[in-house]
Amino acid sequence: MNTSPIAALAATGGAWRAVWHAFVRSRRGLLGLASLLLLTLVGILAPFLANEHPIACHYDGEWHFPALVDTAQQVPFVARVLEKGKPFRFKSFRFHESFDPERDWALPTLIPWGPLEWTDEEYAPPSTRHWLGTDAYGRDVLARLIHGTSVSMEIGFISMGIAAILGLLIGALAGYFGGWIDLLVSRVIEVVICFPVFFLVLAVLAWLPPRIENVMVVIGLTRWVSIARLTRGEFLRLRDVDYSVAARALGAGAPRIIFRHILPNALAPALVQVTFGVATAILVESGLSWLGFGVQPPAPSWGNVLREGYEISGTTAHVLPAACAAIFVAVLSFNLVGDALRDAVDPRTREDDQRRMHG
Amino acid sequence: MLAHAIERLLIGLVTLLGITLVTFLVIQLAPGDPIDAVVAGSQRPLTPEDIERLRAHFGLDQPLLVQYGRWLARIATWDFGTSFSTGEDVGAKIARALWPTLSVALLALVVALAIAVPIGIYSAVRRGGAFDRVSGTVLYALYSVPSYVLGMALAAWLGVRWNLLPIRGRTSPDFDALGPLEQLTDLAQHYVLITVCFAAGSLAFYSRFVRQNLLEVVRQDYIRTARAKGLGELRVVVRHAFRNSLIPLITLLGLTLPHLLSGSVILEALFDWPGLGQLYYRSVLARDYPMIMALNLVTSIVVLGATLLADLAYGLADPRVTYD
Repeated sequence: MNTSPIAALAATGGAWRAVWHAFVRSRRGLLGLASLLLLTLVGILAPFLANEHPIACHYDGEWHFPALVDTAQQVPFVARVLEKGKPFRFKSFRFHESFDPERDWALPTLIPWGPLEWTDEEYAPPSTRHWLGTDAYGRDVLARLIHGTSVSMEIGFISMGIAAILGLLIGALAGYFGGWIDLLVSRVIEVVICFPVFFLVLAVLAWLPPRIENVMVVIGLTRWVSIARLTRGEFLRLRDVDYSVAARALGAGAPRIIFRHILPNALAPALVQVTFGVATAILVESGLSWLGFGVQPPAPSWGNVLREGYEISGTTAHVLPAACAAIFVAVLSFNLVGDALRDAVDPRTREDDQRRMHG
Repeated sequence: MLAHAIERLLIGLVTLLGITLVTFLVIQLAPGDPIDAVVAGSQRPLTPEDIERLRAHFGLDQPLLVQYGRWLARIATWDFGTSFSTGEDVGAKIARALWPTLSVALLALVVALAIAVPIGIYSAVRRGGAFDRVSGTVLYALYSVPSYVLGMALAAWLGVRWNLLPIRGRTSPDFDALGPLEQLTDLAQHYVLITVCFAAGSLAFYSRFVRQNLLEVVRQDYIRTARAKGLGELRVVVRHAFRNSLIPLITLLGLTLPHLLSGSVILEALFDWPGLGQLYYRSVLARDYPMIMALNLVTSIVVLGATLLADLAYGLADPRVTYD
């Protein structure tokens, strides 16, 4: 058996396992993580959870599975090969009105309402029929919030994905190569950091058609800065440590050293930033929707539900708190995970924990 | 110190140039035409010749770099031009909007600090106690409430449902007819909700920050010395520990200004507040690009100024800091 110190270190699973071990010790962090996983799941399964069409039904002598098809169609390209059965694929088809209890049988989704489905039960307070009530058009608020979850999560993750790739790449180049690249990048970072982000986002969106893709790209393009700054710092620190020097001595090229050797060790601080960033992106999107620059109504985004709830808040009290709660829970969860992750990544607090553990 | 201030000012000027160039390029390269705002605001339908003439009038027929150069030259003489959508003087409009925003930001800062510092100190001193845990959890939750969500909830309940406080504008419509004392209470009432919204988020942030810094300072040797010479706990914490934990707070104050301004767009639109944020929102809606350019410049100056002030105050608060 090999008992060298290097093998012993490898057996512990490296830095990421240590981070994970420190992370699971935070109860708040785990709570946040559980809540995030749940939100993501709700987002992915939105058409399966709230749909005006049933999961399975025997309608007019034929079997249909429209809610399942809706869920599957979210996967890219599936929509091209998989389609809902004849009456269900038409926009004008209203299942709730055409359903005949004598003739048909249906297994409805948990919330048997679609996010865009108008009913004549306007301003209905919460009941067993509409768990969170309905809005000014008789649309089910919970169905809209569930579908809003997928909009918000998508925007949060994709925009921060763009920001993370940009930030890591730019920060890595600046930190590793230094010189004029570093000078340029640092100046650009300084410019963007003291700029109110929301102003920039609004300025760009004013001239773009208000589409969800534009919102994601613009948020991503304005949020890479803090990631780049941290990554640059890590690369400055790590480019001359022993293993980088060793890799260079073995003849490894810059790309190999950057991506194989330094990046995995420089990722942690960026990850913390990304976690907080997703929360901010969700906030920015809700704010934009509220101002009318984000996801356009009647699409069900949290910002839109918030706006609709605010507009009718003088007479109808149940819509606004529901939208507020959804945004609050999402932001809180990301903050909890981000904080626990930051503590887990920071070696100082990790040592503190160990000291506390050993007395 | 003076040399450092001048150096920072020069760097700030370069940063300003960068910001205006970025805004300029973003606006020019984005699809759509700035002239659309003028066309939309026109009383009569415009012929293509009219539009060409307008283009020449606003200098939009020139190459990008020439346009940017002309804009810079005008700014250098403190001339911001006229608004595309309303024809008003941009500089005067911004000057009018500056104070409503800055006054709320400053007021919110004072309110937030006045509450956050005592909470932070007390929870650091009684670390792990009931107050620390309860206030920690409450503030953490508050920190996760977006300011505009809080604003909407407050406006819907305190403003609309219970009609306790005004939620639109900075003054009542009949403000000019009121007596001096009534004017003051009217202003104060209008300031309450928007100030609370601005202060709420930073309140949680500051108190956590004060607590964290204090805990780090308390570990220092000179605190042990102060305790060893028999000073009371209050004196140790306030005189010895808190003063030294102030320094990072100063930098933080400078850095929160961009966030406050970002938040001002939604909050001011919500409360119909006649400040920079709402002016910006209106200008963006109207695609009024002289206004957007000027507003970006002014907010950047405000932000850079605050950062510079924080940087210099840092040196005043901590004599160990030298700027060489």
